Amino acid sequence: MKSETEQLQEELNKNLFDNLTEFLQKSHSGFQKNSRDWSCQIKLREIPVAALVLGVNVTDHDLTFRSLTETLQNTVTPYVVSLQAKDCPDMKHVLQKLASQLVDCGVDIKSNEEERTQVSQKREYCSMDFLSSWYRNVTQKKIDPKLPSKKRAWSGQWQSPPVVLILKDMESFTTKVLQDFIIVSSQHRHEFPLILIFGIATSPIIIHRLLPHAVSSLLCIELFQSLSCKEHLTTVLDKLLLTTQFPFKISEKVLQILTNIFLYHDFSIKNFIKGLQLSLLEHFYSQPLSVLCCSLPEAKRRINFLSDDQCENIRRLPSFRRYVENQASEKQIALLTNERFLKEEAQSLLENLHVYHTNYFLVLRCLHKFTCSLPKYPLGRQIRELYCTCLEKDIWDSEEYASTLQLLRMLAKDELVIILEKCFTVFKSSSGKQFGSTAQRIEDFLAQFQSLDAEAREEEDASGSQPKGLQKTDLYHLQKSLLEMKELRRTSKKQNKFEVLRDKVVDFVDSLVREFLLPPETQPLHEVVYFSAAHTLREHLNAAPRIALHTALNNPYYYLKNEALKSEEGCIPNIAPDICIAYKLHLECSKLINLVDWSEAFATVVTAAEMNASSTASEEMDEIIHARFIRAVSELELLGFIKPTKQKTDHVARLTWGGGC
Amino acid sequence: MPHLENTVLCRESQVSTLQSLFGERHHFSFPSIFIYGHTASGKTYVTQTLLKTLELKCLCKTGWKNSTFHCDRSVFLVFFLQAVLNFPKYCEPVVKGEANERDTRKLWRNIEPHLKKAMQTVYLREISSSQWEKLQKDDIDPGQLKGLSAYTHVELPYYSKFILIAAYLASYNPARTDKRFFLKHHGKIKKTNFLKKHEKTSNHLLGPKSFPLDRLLAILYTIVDSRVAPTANIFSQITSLVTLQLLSLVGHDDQLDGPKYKCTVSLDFIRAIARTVNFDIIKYLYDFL
Repeated sequence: MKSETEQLQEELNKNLFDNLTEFLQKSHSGFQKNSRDWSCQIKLREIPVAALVLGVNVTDHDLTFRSLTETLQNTVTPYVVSLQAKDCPDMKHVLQKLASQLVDCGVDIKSNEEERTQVSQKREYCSMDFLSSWYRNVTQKKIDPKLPSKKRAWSGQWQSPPVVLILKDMESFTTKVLQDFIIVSSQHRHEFPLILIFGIATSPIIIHRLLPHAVSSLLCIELFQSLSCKEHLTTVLDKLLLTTQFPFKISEKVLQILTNIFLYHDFSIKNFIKGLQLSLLEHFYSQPLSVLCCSLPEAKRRINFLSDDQCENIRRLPSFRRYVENQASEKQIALLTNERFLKEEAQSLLENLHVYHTNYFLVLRCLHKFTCSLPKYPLGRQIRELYCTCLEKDIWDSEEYASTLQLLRMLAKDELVIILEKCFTVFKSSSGKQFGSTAQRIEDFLAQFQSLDAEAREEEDASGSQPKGLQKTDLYHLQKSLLEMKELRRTSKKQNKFEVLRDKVVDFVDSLVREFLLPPETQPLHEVVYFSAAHTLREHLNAAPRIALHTALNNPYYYLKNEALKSEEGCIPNIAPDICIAYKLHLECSKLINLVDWSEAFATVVTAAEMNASSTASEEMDEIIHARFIRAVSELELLGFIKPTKQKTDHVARLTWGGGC
Repeated sequence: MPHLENTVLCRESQVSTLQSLFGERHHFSFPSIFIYGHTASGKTYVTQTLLKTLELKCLCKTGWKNSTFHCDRSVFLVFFLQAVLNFPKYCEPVVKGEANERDTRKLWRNIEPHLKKAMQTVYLREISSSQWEKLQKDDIDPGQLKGLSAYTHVELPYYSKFILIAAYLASYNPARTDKRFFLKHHGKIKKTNFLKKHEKTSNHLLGPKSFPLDRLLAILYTIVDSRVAPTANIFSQITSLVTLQLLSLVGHDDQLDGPKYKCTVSLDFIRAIARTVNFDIIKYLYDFL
């Protein structure tokens, strides 16, 4: 699944990267031409800039930039440098970082030891002149064929390739640094051909905000937008979950959690994929039968090697039990006792599951085509929303489904035809035999619609020869005739041919849905491939630091798993760690806590614990207890539960709410 | 150049300014210079003389009445020292033979709408000069091409929008008014005459104020309809908003104890965002009470 995601990422970025490389090549070819035409001379002074609008999910930008660097290094130029705002507080650092990264790029090409030592000496003092002279040296040296060079696709295309500088997070750069850098680079453009790429997270307005007009007039900016993250999510879901290629599936609650985190908190695809990986891990860790969650032939083979324990596990699955109850009694006995029979049965059940999934996704896609364009989207606009609803329960019972069918019965002809054609392609593309007849029926429907069209046209021609005579009528007669027409329409519900056909189509879709879109819980052995422990996922993904702290301090058994620490509510076990004791004591107080009282209570509790060991109440023990108390109090202060206050001497203020005394 | 001052009398200051602007021959110079003043004050004469002396290439245009400047009486002189973009278009009618070179008025009428569009786009760097040239070649209406300013919309996750709205409310409402806006049973705030006199300035004019993190979270939990669990995701979103420069951190970076923030978005932006989550922000702003 991992390789699939990476491939997906590449495909989605491909369009953007292609446009970008085209832009870079075009802008640099102007530099190469070196024409005397004064329009070119003027344009030469502008630095070409590609403004990449990437979206708010800053965690995903890293990956994009890395693949962009690789692509550019393979196609356009080897001199690609990335800079981050936190490394560049002023101009000196910018130039230094630029120079050091460029030299590293250059050294890759020619493995020349002398070059490296010579350049490293100059690392202390960097200026634009140094960069220009370095560039001149490097591009001139390339003509020398004796030096071994790494085979790269671009080599030979340009003698002097441009230098591409990627500014990863444009918003965080300070205005001054950026301005200075652009002004200086534009002066040196003829000897150091620089192309900039701005990585923008919010909107291109930031360019106007960061750079005054004088500076932005030195730039030749073109805008490129990357794919919106919601579309990205839809594609990821499509390729990873709504397919039979990967047998692992997640239940509705888990899917809800993952999409909620994506939509409500951060638009990060990386986190979504991590969540999927986590659920995969949890599934394989907690479900012993997940060994069967793999490709179908492999699963069948593995069933033959199942041990007796595993067979017991199968028998204990609730879905299997339901299945057994529905069988004839001899079969029941055989399933419950005979291992051989059980294994064969399991193999056929797995196969059924696979077929079920194939059908399920085809019909789901078909239903989505029907519902995605309805007004007010009763079943959701995206296929993932539809998928969630279908996973949850029988979709034909829901109100939204009823309203969808009603709306479908009111569709216009051309829309219906378009949708039917799309469904036809979906079914045709599937390889299963069972949908051959379905595809055939859709084809029939389409043909019928077309013939309707022809008929309607014939009727029009026929009726055109008898023009109805319109008599002059007054208001009263007009009203009467309109009312009569309304009555007629209400009583005689005679539908024309189109409406009849439309109803037939809708009924057909309805039948498909009822037959194939059963929720997965009805299928035996679904627990093998479905992960449904949503609460563990939620625990791991939705981190609540304050709650975790409170649990740890209140109930140390939860983390330390020391049997002796188990206690009931409200009691403080004497051997709990100091900080827990101090915490529990402070919970009982109100806003201001008297340190002296607190330390005495602490000492009492602690000495009660040690009373069993030795009843020597020496001064040393008191000192030690005092020291422990002070340590516990300062730890609580560090964690942010209390803070020192000047309102009363020797008091601390409590920073959390709670019951007071 | 002493003889220059003699050719143009009583204009030493203007001549010296212009000279300093043009600079020496090999310096990089300004691409365009606007010279404005009342009619018949001799701008053309001065500049033309200077240019003739310095032998610089130029294109002179007089009599440009442009409604965007709202000045009917003044006359602007514009030098297109770098008129590469517009010169071909300007010469178009001459090339087409419609008018001869003397007929400046006709040439002007031809180029005026074109210049207007150029003002809005290329001169504001909305689109690049190469795109402009491509447009001219293909003769597409520049209105179709979306410049940089058209893309102001930022797509944010659901809770981030609420965090931003809460930050805006915290920045522009005084702290004592929080009780009135966000509690179910609040007392009325009596605006006495004294206060009214001294609070004429709206908070929106004064700019955003800083607020501590706790206040932001308190307002956030009040305005979100459903229950929001205080997970780490919410906290990391606040930092992301700071990275995106929609919020800004006030005070030192290392101060973990009580971080203070400030909201740096405009009212229009926040109204657009509030509309997408069906939240009427005007109702909660003190200035619009």
